[in-house]
Amino acid sequence: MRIQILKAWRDVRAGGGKSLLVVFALALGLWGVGSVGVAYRVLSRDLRQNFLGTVPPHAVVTFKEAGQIDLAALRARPEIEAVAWRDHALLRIEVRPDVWVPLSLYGADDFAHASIAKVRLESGTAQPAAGAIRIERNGRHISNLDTGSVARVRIGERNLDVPIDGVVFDPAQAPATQDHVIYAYTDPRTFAALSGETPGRRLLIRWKNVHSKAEVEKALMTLRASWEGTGSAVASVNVPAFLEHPHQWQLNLLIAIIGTIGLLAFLLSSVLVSQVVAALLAKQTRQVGILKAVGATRSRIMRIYALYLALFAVASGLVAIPLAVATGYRFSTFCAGLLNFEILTTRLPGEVLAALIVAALVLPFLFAGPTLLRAGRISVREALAEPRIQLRRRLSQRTAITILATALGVAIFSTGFNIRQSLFEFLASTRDSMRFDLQVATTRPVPREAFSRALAGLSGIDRTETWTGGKGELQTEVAGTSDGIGIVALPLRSQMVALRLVEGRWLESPSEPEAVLNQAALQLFHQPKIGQVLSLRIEGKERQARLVGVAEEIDKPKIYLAQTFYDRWANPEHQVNSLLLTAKDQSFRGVMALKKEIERSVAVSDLPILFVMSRAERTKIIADHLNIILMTLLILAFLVLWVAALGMASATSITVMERTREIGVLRAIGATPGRIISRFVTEGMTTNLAGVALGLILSWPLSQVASAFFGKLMLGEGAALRYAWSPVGFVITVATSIVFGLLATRLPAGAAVKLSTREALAYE
Amino acid sequence: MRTSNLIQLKSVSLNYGPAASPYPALQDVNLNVASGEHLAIVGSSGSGKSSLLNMITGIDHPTRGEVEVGGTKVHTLAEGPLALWRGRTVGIVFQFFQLIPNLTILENLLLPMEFVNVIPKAERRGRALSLLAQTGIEAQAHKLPAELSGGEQQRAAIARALANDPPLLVADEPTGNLDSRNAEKVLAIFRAQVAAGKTVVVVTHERNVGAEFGRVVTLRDGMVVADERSRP
Repeated sequence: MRIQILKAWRDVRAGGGKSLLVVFALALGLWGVGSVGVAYRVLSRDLRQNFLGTVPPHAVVTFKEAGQIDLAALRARPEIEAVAWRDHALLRIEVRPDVWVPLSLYGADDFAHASIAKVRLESGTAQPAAGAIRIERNGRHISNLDTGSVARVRIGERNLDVPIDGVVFDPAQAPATQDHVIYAYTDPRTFAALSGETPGRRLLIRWKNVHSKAEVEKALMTLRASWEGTGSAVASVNVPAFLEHPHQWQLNLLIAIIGTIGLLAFLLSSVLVSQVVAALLAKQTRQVGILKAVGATRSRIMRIYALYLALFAVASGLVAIPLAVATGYRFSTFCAGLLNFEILTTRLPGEVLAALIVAALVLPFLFAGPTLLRAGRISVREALAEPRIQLRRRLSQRTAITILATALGVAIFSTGFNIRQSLFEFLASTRDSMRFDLQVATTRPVPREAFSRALAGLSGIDRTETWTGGKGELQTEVAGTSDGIGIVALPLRSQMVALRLVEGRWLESPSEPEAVLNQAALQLFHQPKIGQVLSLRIEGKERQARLVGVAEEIDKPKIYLAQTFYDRWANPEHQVNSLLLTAKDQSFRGVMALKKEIERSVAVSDLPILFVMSRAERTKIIADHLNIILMTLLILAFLVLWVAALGMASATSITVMERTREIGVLRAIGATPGRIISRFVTEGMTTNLAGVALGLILSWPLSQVASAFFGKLMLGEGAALRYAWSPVGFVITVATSIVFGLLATRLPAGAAVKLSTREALAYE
Repeated sequence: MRTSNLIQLKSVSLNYGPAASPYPALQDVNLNVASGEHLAIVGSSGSGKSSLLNMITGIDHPTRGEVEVGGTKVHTLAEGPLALWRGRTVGIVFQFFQLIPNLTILENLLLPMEFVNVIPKAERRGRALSLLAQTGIEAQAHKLPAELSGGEQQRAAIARALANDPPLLVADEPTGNLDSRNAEKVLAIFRAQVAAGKTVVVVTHERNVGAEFGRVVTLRDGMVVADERSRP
């Protein structure tokens, strides 16, 4: 056995650069798959653990009046796990001089000892000071606010200086950096003082033994029936996705992208490994014949070469496993920072490490197994036969594999650009759908004239339009619906919005109530069909509207209604809560200057301002949500192309190596080194161009499928990103592929002609 | 000293190429070789010499006929048992030496002993060095094949063929790549093996070998056209 081990080790060493290439390719595949595995394990568990650690509510119920529920009695019910008041108000806060964002303020008795929707104190005293608020830590990234600072908060018609006496961590919230909202927490008394609302209206509930949203909805229906029997009027209920973080979709998307591309990188590296191992074993074919001739059985041969592969496995594992763990953690930390949660899996779980080690040991056999089996099966006569015959067969096989590997790399790289283009076009479409430059929203409906008064004297405004909206309920078979579903009531022929419709048409009937849902609303309410009559509960009364269209929009669930019907049903005084306007100077600077003027005007007005936001800022919020995905997509797609190029370089160098004797013959009959190099480069580039062309053709269906897949992940069931062709991507793909191809053929050919004619002719 | 037949080829034919238009490499060859014989198989290029040798070593199987070596019907053996049988029964010497390039000469000799496991572990190294001494290259034991001359490599290959002490030694053009001085050294080793009781079968294209071998079988177009024994 000792000599057999020695042989395997010496063969690895004798392989030189080729052996290193095998270790590199194996390590690359293992690194890609391992990083994805580690990141998947850490991210999927930790985001969930962070979220579940807050003990999130199963449902949120808002009552019309405060103090209608006996909390102690409710808590005593056997099916209830926890209940607590957690009042909520939307105000606005100045994050930098003259820069205001929405303030999502929560009020509760004792945050430090909450049994539901817990937050963790990061700085400040345990008990908040009266009149002070605590902000969620992620808000510091979009503001100058921190413990000890004093913030200007818009309270109804006036501004108030509110001290910040602490920072808390609330991983159940969407990140402030993405939603551009400051989340803050205070005691009920301060909440009442700041919001003007009586505490004790918004109730968080957790049940025992519920396992799905449907079960929550059923349990809530029972509870609601009992409340209605005692005259406790419910204003709205919200049953969020069952124990799911609000930005779980982003993480799912990221994991899907890294998983898909990691798998493709893995496949390409498998091609690379199998090619190089095949070439190394091809050099060993004659030796297989000799070993068999001196008494080695097939199993002996297999054992020797299994040992040979095991050495590659150990070497690549030693390189790739620490790298995979480090990269997986680094990527997880990066995502955790973006999504505002903490990495809890500080020690790599044993099963992940074990899986990585098993993968390291199994991968080479998986990649090179067929080659190994072929080597074991070859007969002595075949093994000792004229190598030229075998070479011809190997060359054509290798050319086919090289074309396919290049095509796959190019297809993925090109698809990465096409999806990026699809996302850009989606953003452009979102931007174009908003035809206003600025939106001024209030916390409650106000007379239309209130806006006119507040903004009188501003000369930069061109056109204006006012919208109304409110909270409504879309009735479903079960009791549950959404607190957050917004009704946007707007003029029938609005000049300020032109959403792209993925199905049906926009609102147009002046006589019959019609509704348009965005995709999130469509998904939330179980995909109603166009033409279906929706039953809406608005201000306690049931109203009917026919669903006429579905709009593409990356936003919370929304129902669009004609203002005339909404006013008739729920807004007899024709109040409005949103002013949309276009600027005379529509340049970015012009719009931002007008925004500042508006901010100054509303600051001294009696308008209960919620936000003043430009279209550019809205688009930026959406872009911020997609940025991480775009970056990851491109980096990984480039990695795949790089692996494909390496595969090509290795294939070419192996081909050149195997044809060394041919180089000797060419030189013997007068070919100059330049002519020989150009001959190999021409052959290599023909293969490369065939691969590039095939890859570009393949990228078309691949982009279609990928756009649909990622669109569905981002926008929900039934939604799809439109396929888009990226001209920039096309140029970069072709140029990069050709440069890679040129290097991959020129370098090995250049090295081969350095041998003397005698050495080349003697090459075996 | 000749005893019973070690090798028996009965009506052996071998065809290459497609069944529709086969190329006959061997045609109805009958050949018996007794233990201890020193046999040369001669003939021009393409006469079927190497094919005949491949029949004896089990490297190739006959299209028709039977091959029996040392009482074993070689043509009936499956790949695994055939390799083990070959390792124990036949020592093969190739024209181009075919040593394992990354192993030293000593390791090249130890490798077949590991495969076949007939020589006790404790005796392997000593036996290998002894064989190298017998072939006159003991000093080269720890060198790689590429560091040896052609003649030395061929002597190493013969030593390797003898590693498991097989009763039969076959050699395919063993002197084809050697100068006359080295060729003579190789032939001397074969003579010594015959003297020690082994059967030696050598394929050669050289015609004037009658004096060297006890028996000369001549092939032409895959058929035995002459079978001459020299006088003792």
